[in-house]
Amino acid sequence: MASRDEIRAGLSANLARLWRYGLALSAARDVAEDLVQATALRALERAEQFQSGTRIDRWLFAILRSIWLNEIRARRIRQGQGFVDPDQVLFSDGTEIETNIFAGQVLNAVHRLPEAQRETVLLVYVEGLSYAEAAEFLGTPIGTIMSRLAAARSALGRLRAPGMSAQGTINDRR
Amino acid sequence: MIGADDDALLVALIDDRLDAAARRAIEMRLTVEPKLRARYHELAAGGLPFTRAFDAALAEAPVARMQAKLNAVGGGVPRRRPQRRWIGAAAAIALLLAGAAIGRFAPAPFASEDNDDWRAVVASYASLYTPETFAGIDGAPNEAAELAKLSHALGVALTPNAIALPDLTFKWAGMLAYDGAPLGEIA
Repeated sequence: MASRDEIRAGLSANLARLWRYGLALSAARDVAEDLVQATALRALERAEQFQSGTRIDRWLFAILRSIWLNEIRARRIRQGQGFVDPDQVLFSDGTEIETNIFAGQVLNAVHRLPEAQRETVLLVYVEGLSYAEAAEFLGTPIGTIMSRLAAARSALGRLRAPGMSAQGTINDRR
Repeated sequence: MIGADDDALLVALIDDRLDAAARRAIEMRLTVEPKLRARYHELAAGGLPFTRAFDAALAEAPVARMQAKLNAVGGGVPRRRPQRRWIGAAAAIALLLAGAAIGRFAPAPFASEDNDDWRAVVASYASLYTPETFAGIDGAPNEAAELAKLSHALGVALTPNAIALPDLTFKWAGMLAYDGAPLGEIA
């Protein structure tokens, strides 16, 4: 059983990552911030449910995801805001991420993917979950994880702007 | 036609997550199956520098504001589960309260299902605050800067003198939003 102080420390240490996950899910900065705050409130309410010694970041991610799926996304869909405008850019290239124009291009490309693919890309390629961990976290078969990654890669390969280089490509043997 | 199983193998190969035997097997096939090789290149081309890009997003996170809100959730968080109605807006609240003024908000009812009025949401959220909520926060050093940001964002002239109230201490000011509309919070 965890104390509220332990949960609070876990939240403090993971605020930015939680916000980034919320951003990947919602594709909206303000919604991401709402999600983090709602996650904090929920996590502190349920502090006794966290098992000390397990990964608090995963526990918090799961809470955030649950709030997104069951509450905020559902509400946005009811209000007709459930679908991302593909022309809306998540980051204005060269302004909000002034130090990294290229990062903005990549994020905007990922932003155009369907939500399930965006989320899987973040969890596997950014958060570093194994395929099996991602499958368990998302409650899907590993095959679904792999097909989402393949579909994301396929779409991103077509969207890739000139000048972007591929990552994760092992030495071309052919 | 490349099936899902082959796609999975190719993605795992590109991600360098295959064991040695599986890797050798698929690499052998790539040398003799042109369609598989074409698909490999297609999937590899979609591998962008995700980590670098998302780390840049990490740097964009409003950590200070989120931390301040976390700090503001004191020991008085109710056991009651917040209503779905406003959970998404839990952070998107504007309120003006401090010290003894908290008591004025505390009895406010939660927003009714039929009431979208942001004021009701504000009142509901404010009811979570207790006199201890801001106990450990010294707002004075940041007051002018936080108010200046708020002034700029809202187009309202806010200065320490303009918002000063007798016997109340400034704790925090920040930019929030409710259903897309900007709101300022001063506590």
